[in-house]
Amino acid sequence: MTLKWATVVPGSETAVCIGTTGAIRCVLSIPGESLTGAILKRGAIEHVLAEAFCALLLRGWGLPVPRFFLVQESGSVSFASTDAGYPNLSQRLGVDAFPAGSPQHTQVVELAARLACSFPTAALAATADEAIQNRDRNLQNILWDGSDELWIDHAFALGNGAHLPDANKLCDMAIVTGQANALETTAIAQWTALDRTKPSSAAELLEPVADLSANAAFVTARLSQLGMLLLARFPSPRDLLSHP
Amino acid sequence: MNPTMRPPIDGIADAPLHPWRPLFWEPVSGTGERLLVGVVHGYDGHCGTVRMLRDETLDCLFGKRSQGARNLIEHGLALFRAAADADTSLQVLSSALMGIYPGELRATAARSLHELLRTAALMHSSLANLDKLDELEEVDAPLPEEVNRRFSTEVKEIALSMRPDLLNYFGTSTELVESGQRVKFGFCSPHVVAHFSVLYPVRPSASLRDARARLFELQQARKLANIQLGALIGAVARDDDATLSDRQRGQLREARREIASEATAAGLTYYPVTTAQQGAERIIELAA
Repeated sequence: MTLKWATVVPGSETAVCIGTTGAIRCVLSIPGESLTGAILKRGAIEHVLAEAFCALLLRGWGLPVPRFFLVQESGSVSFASTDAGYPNLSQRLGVDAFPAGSPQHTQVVELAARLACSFPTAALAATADEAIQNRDRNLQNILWDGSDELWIDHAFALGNGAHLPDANKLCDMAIVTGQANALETTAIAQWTALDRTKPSSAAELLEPVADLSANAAFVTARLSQLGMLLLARFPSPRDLLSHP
Repeated sequence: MNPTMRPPIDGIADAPLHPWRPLFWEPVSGTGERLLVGVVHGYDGHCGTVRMLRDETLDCLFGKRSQGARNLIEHGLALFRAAADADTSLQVLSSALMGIYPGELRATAARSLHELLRTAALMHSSLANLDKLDELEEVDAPLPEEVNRRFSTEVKEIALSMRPDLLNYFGTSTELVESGQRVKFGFCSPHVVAHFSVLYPVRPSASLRDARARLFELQQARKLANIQLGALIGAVARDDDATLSDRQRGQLREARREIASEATAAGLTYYPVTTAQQGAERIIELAA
């Protein structure tokens, strides 16, 4: 895996108006490759770097995350994740069509959450989210094209989401939809199989851009206690010694 | 005009109005390119959704990725259904869900759900005017093998989920003449030999030719291998498919009748099914 740079084709930008991180649809020109569609995110450098680091790390762990490029623009660096082939039929699972708390919202969110937890890589995603302290895995940050899922938007991982409630939203979805046992078991198994060298590998690849050794150390430290962190996300089994 | 002459009374004029919204799918998010994919309706006080974008259309548009597109659309329709059920109303369904955009709330007269859906298709979809395709000279070229292969693959997957012990009987081959080439069959066991076919609404003639060819293969295989049962399991459109014209429905009924007659004459049985699930249940029943 290598770090690659691309250029936005002038005039190709279209606002997407989804989420809070100002995504823009565009076309990228990539050296040695044909033009490709992408989602561009401009913003604070720590968010761009978090996206890049997490994309490298999570792809290294086998989680389906879109291929990405960095874009140099007028003294700043932006993050662009590419469409997986043409046409890109992926849709975000988010359902913000109804007011929160309305009966419609409850019904459709439960359906979407059930789908998300049923994805083959959901447990790995929950494990990875715990490792990178991603508190923002809402339904808008999961793509699905009817066959394959993709996990996106990691700007608020690695401590950038301190303003968000401490939560692993995939675990929460599993609890609400009655899939907690399955996700918990598989997530723990995934943790034991995670390659502990990947965080430092990701930081090394990004060295030309910034020193991300602190991010790598952050993730490595969490990996050593990830089993306990994951167990704490799920309800404890009640037994004779439990307090009522 | 003769004052005593009254125009014929069309019952539709007195039929009750039923609410519905067209649902437009935007395949690539953010592009504005949209197709009518179905409707959400409140026919007779009961909310529901119906997909009207035909499988063949999705196949033409997206090829191998059409199954993913189907899954996406079905999930989106399920969300609209759940939202409509939550309130038994279509009023609040004005925002997009999973790339599906609801159109204006309409209320049209209909004497049946089929009639309501047909109205919606005629008002909003170019892809429902399949009569236009019939006006062109139909070329009796062979059906794309892809179409049959997909149906037989789906049947096989469902059947094996229920009866994994039948694995070795799917896709087996046998000779039709002594020392001839081996021909692959959909299913071949010591007890039954079967093919899977599709009666393609826009290509009924080509579908009929394909079915005939398969009946011939089944007849020969039965004779040579001395197999008791020979069956053609054929995917057909539902009789109440709202995207078909009356003429197409008639053509398809005629084609089914013809295939069934020719199968009987050859000592075989034709089993028309409307879903891969039914196809799987039929092959399991025959293999028993």
